[in-house]
Amino acid sequence: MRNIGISIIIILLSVFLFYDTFSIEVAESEEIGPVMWPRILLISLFVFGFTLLVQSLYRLKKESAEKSGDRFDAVKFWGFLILIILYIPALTYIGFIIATPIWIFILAFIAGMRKVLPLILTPLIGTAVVTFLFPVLLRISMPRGVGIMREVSYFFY
Amino acid sequence: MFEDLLSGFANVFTPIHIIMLFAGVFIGILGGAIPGISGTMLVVILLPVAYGLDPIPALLLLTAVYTTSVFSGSISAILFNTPGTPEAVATVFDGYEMTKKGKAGEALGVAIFSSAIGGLIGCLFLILLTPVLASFALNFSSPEYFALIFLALVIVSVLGGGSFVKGMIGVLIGLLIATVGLDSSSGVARFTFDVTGLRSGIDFVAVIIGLFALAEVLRKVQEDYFTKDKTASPKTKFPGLGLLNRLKRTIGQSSLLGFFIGVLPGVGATTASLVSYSMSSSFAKNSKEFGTGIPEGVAAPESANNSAAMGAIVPLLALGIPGSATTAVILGAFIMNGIQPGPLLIEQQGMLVYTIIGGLLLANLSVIIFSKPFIRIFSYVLKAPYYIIGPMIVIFCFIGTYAVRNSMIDLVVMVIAGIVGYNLTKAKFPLAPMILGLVLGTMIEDHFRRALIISGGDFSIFFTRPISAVLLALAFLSLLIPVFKWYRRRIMEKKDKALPGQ
Repeated sequence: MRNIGISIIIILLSVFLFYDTFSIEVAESEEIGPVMWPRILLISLFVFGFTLLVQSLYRLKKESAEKSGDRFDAVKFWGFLILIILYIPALTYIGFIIATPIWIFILAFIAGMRKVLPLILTPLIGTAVVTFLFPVLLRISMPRGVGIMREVSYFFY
Repeated sequence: MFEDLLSGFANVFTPIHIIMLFAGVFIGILGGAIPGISGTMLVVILLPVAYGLDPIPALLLLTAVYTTSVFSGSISAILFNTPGTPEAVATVFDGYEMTKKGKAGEALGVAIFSSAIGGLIGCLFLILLTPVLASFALNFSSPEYFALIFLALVIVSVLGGGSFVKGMIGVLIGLLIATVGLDSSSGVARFTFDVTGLRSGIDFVAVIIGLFALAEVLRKVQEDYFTKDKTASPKTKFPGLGLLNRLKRTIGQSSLLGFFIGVLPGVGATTASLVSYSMSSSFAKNSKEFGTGIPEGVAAPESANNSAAMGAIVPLLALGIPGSATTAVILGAFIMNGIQPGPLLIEQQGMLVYTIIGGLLLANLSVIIFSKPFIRIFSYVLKAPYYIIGPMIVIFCFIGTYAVRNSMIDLVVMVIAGIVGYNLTKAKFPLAPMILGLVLGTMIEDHFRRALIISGGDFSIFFTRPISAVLLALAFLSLLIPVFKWYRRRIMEKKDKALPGQ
């Protein structure tokens, strides 16, 4: 089923992007312009997407017979995914130095860490190590957040 | 060349270079031994470190991690029946059987020795072949380059694991992502949808980190990668002269085979170790004993995968075309540091190339020197649960992506790539073709357009120039491989159906 979904997305995406190539400005003098290459790719993508769809429909019966043995832990998967997505605005507003230990704490908890001491120490040590390694030692600038969060970050890097 | 090599080797011993090299060796051996962390992921999460360093120490660090992680996957394969990296899958067959027989120390010794010798043999071929291939490639013009990259992308789809159709879709998606942003020749915006952040293109580091590292965390966090109560830390026993004499043929053959498999695009160390194990088990005198726990069964895959890892660097340095997913990431590190690998690299930056090669030689030697004392530490490291490793990798992914361009859009791209990568791997899409397509996308389009400009829009230019024609013919011939595979499968299925009725 996943293959069918992916192939349909690929077909729709190739059609949509092919349509979008008509909005790319091309100078009339340009024979080999910026549009030819993407169009070749999109036509090929459509063909292979369609092939995958046919293949997947053909194999649908077989796939349903052989049930996937993969484990799916909804709490861990969705927990991680949502936190990963929320980490982006957290970096913008709260800043790296404050958001990171909070996120490591929640991620570790979701992943299965239950002992109190490791739950406190892992985020602190983890943040200390990455802060020392990247913003301090390698001078890689990480987001500082806004307002008071920004001021706090200056104490560390 | 010899002088260049010597000065390159001497340059490795500059304090910062040697520190980075040994840091790479340490991280590679330690990280690769942990099941759930592949060599590719290690290199990916170290990209931000490489970004903060000068090119030579950065590349020494990454190549040392790449080299040693290929070996260290064998440690958990031998001790715990769990390959630390995909390259060590074949090592499990005899390695763990030896452990069950109480010969874990001997198995580790054979793995260390075979890996180092395989890596060194691969390195020697790398030294010999890279300049030859580079000087041959100096004759290449745009049609030849286009044909060569086309061949590489077709081969990676055909042989990169998974179905050919999925491989090709991966390549095409990678190539399409590379078209996003302002076109380098005309300055026209493509697929930017009026998002300013997309005008400078999609950063491939963000996509690679998302596809490989983040997707892997989303997958692995659901599994139990905690090596519980396994405290085995046997004393490593290096093979004696008698055993060495017995293994020399296996190691020699597997190293050679591994190297040439590694040179092929997309066919990395994992395939090399499996092919080499199967060849050795088919043609050895004691072929029936393979799988029962014999040293040859450890020596064959271990020498092959390390040699293949060196083979994959040849097209990277000589042509600027990576031979595997990990070398594609390393190519990314080269580009991040403003260096474009290719035929002119040896001529223009010989010191850099030979320093890297010197570093690779030393990293392979270090496997012999450092593995033995490290193995005791492994028994502790292997117990590191994923609830510590997983969150830390997530943070590394964010730092790695943000470090390159300080762009929040790149973080969004990385997260989207992670979700896409997770779903694609669940649907058994190989990721290497997409990475290669992405990394080589700009290059293949530039050469395609340049070639057509030279010919005035005539496509026959690709077929009338001898080298380009041969490369394209090879690409089209390799398209027949899936057809053969399909035909063979049909025959086997027919045979299976026919049997019950007989």
